[in-house]
Amino acid sequence: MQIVANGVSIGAVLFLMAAGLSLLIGSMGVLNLAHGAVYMAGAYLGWTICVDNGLPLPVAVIGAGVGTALIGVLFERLFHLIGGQADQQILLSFGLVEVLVNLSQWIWGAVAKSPFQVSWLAGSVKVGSASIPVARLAIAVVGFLVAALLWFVQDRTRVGAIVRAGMDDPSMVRALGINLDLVVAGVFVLGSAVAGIAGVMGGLVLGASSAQAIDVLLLALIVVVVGGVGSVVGTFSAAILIGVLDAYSRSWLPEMSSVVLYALMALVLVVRPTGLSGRAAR
Amino acid sequence: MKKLLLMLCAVVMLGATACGDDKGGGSADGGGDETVVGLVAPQTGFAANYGPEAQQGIDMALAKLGKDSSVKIKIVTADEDVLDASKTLERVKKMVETDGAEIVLGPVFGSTQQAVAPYLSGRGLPWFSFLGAGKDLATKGSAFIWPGADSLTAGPLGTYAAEELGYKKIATLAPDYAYGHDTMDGAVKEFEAAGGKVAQQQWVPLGTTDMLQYATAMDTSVDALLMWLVPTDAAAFVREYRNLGIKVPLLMFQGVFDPTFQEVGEQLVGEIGLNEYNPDLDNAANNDFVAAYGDEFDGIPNQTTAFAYTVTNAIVSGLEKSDGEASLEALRKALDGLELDTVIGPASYNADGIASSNRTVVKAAKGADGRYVWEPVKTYEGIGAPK
Amino acid sequence: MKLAVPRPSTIAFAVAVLAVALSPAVLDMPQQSLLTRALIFGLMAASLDIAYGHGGLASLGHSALAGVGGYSVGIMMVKHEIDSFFLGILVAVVVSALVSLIFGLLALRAKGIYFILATFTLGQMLSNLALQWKALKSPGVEAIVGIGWPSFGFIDNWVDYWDSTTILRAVLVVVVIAFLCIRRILGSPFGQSLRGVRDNAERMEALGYHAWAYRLASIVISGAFAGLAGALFAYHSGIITPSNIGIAASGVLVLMVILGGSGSIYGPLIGGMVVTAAQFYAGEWSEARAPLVIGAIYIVTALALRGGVAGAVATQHRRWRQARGSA
Repeated sequence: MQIVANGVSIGAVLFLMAAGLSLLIGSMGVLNLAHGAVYMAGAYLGWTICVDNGLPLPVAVIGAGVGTALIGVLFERLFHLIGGQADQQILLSFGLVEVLVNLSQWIWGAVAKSPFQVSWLAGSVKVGSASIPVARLAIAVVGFLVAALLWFVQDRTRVGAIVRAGMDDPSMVRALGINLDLVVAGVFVLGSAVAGIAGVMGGLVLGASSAQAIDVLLLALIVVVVGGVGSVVGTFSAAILIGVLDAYSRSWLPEMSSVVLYALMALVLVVRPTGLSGRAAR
Repeated sequence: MKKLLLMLCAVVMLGATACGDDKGGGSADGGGDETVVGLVAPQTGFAANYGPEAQQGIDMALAKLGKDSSVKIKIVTADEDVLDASKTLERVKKMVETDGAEIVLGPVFGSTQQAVAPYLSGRGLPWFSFLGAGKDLATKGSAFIWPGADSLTAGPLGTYAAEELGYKKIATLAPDYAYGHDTMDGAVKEFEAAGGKVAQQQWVPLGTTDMLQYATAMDTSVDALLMWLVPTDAAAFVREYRNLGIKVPLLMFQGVFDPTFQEVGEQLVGEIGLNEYNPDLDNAANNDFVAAYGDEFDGIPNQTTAFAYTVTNAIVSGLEKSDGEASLEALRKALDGLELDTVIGPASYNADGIASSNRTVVKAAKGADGRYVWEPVKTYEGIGAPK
Repeated sequence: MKLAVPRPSTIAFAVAVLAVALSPAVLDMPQQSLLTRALIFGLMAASLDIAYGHGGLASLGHSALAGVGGYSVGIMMVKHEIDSFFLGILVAVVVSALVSLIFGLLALRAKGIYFILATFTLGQMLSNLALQWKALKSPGVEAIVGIGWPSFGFIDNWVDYWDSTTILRAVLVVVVIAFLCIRRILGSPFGQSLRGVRDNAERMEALGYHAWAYRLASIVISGAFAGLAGALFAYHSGIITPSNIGIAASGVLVLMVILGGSGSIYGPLIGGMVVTAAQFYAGEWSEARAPLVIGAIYIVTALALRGGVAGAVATQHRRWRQARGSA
């Protein structure tokens, strides 16, 4: 019970980490390996606003969301320039990781920032036999809100319909006179903002460090692959599943805990190459 | 094409034999009686603070030397790449073979130490760890280990828990790599020798970021939790520990270093730790050092700076006694049993190059100026070398 | 075999090899070591391009296949005290070919971006295995350490000890032989069919070729040569660590291939050497800011150099010939 609760609570962080990446790959076919670096930037911005300047957490969430959305605008322009070539996307995003990581070490120093202290999120609550820290509940709430919002936009709005149609048949959407590029740019910016918000919320339990650029990317990729790209529901279920599986493997198979996650990922790719509920990538 | 290949091979092999006696690399002894000491510490990446901090300590030690000292030291540096030890090894080779380093100071991280040790030991080059190391690196290699072997350095925490605090049963928590195991085993051994029992041991796999499950899975019937984690992980763990309302006292090897300690100090007030270095130690050498540091850099020195300073002093003492002879044998002989007056009190190296020095049990408190400090509680002498 | 005048590229290659062989006359120890490392990464990049450029299979897990070779010789030497060069190389190549076979069988189930993600997953799995599994670690460290230079059995008596000069030349011989093998394979009917599969799989299938088999073969061959390069890396570095075989290392290999020109013959070899040198000199210039330089190289390559250095040279050459032809 406790292990499940722990898994679900980290699963919410995983979802926030992966949601933006899933959108990017799914709706635009963009393999943005700098997604973890955007998360990292969000975490550091959150630290500056919330810890260094002592402003309330919601301000940090908004500030970091806006900041990373701006990074998203820059990234979108760069990815737009190179077109849809996967290998060039890999290179571009690796370059962006190098630059962002080095800049963050320049600005915030090499030493990692410890988890953010927010006094009204201290303590824990009992759920059945399990104890859940309040900060985790806050993360879960934000995770559910973001999931609901993304799901609503994607499944219930005109913009979402365009994005979905664009995934399946971009030329048809263009032929209808819709400015797909603008929609796609919007998705990029939205995905980056979600990563930034994830950075702040994740910062409550993980702090901020430059190592997150790669660590978070790896976790997000596992979630995206298992959940299937472009599906909010798939990403959400996969994040929770992986959170729980990781918690179990750490207590049962500590020697192999991280290998287990990649083995699951490999299994999904072999059995169902488009993920649990995904559609084929463009 | 085959002919071309054959020809190429022939040319290359000829070249290889003809130049076989052309042994590349610079000569080991630099200008005159100057000894070249190479600092290997991270200058870049997520641990980039170590290099500059160590450099401060070295500079302070050398500044004391004065012009007419019989020992002259030139410092060269190499960046310790914590993630890619192959690059570090390459830089250490260059440092030794081209820059002529005769003594190496560092590296900092256990994994890098293990990576460069075969090369340095193979050449019989003395290297001085200033932040601990596994004892095999000295007994089977060419290392000098300060402030003591990893497997012994945390021992007093176990002794203090059993003898002074009267704890009977503890749990442990540390990362699942050599340094975590060595330090915990050392403290546990002393705790058990004094009649205590260990109820539960948790090892955190490499690459773990979320500390919650180690707090929830903890056996809370124990008298105390003995732990060592890197500062940010320790902060994350203590945060969840407090959130869950766990009341079991902590025994924190190394405590938590600044600047992380200042961020989470409030949650640690009253907990017990064991420091290798502590700026509040009251002895003449440390008071001088802390004052000099304050004049020079306007702040409080940390362990990295203090121990780089201490070990540079030790190297100087060794060289003074060996008349500038920097070989492994000469330094081992010169330093064996030589009384050193250090920032953590009297200390010495044994014949294998392992230091024994003092450890201080400390208690976290809020100082008068609002800073969090580890207040010295009890000192254990002569810790770190096998008896 | 008909006699023919060697092509200009072959002559240039031979001159370059000679230059490297004689370079210790003017290079100091660290430069020789850097050149050795550059040759090894040149071979590693060339091995990646067999599947990447010629098979059209973008892989983000190649350094793990090289790592299989490196770990093989490392474990043999450190844990089992088998220090024969030829045995080491043989085992490294065979084991990495086998692992590549499994790697290929799994990854080829996915297509497009999913293929990239699959290679990334498998590579990362191997890297994590090396991080966590005790059998793949020296005591007290997350790596295999203390790997010495191997013994050749016959040449060992010729030289007093393995200094940087001798190691450079030994690596040069192995890299040149391996590279000529790769060139031979890519120029063979197999190589032509492989490129055919890359460009138009349906047509090749219609002509009776098994596209899948060609792809799998290219991954296995690519992995075998990677294993060789990885073994050389372990011998030369004296150590191999999980970060040498992780995602970042694989990304650098992709940079090498694309910067040099994927799908060309000499491009990846050159790209590998250039990037290795760039990494080194960026660090010499400023240790703290070197990642910005490397990042810039990545970004500029992605934005500007579609055909890579080799592509640029080839274009220039074509223009030059056209200009001469029309004059």
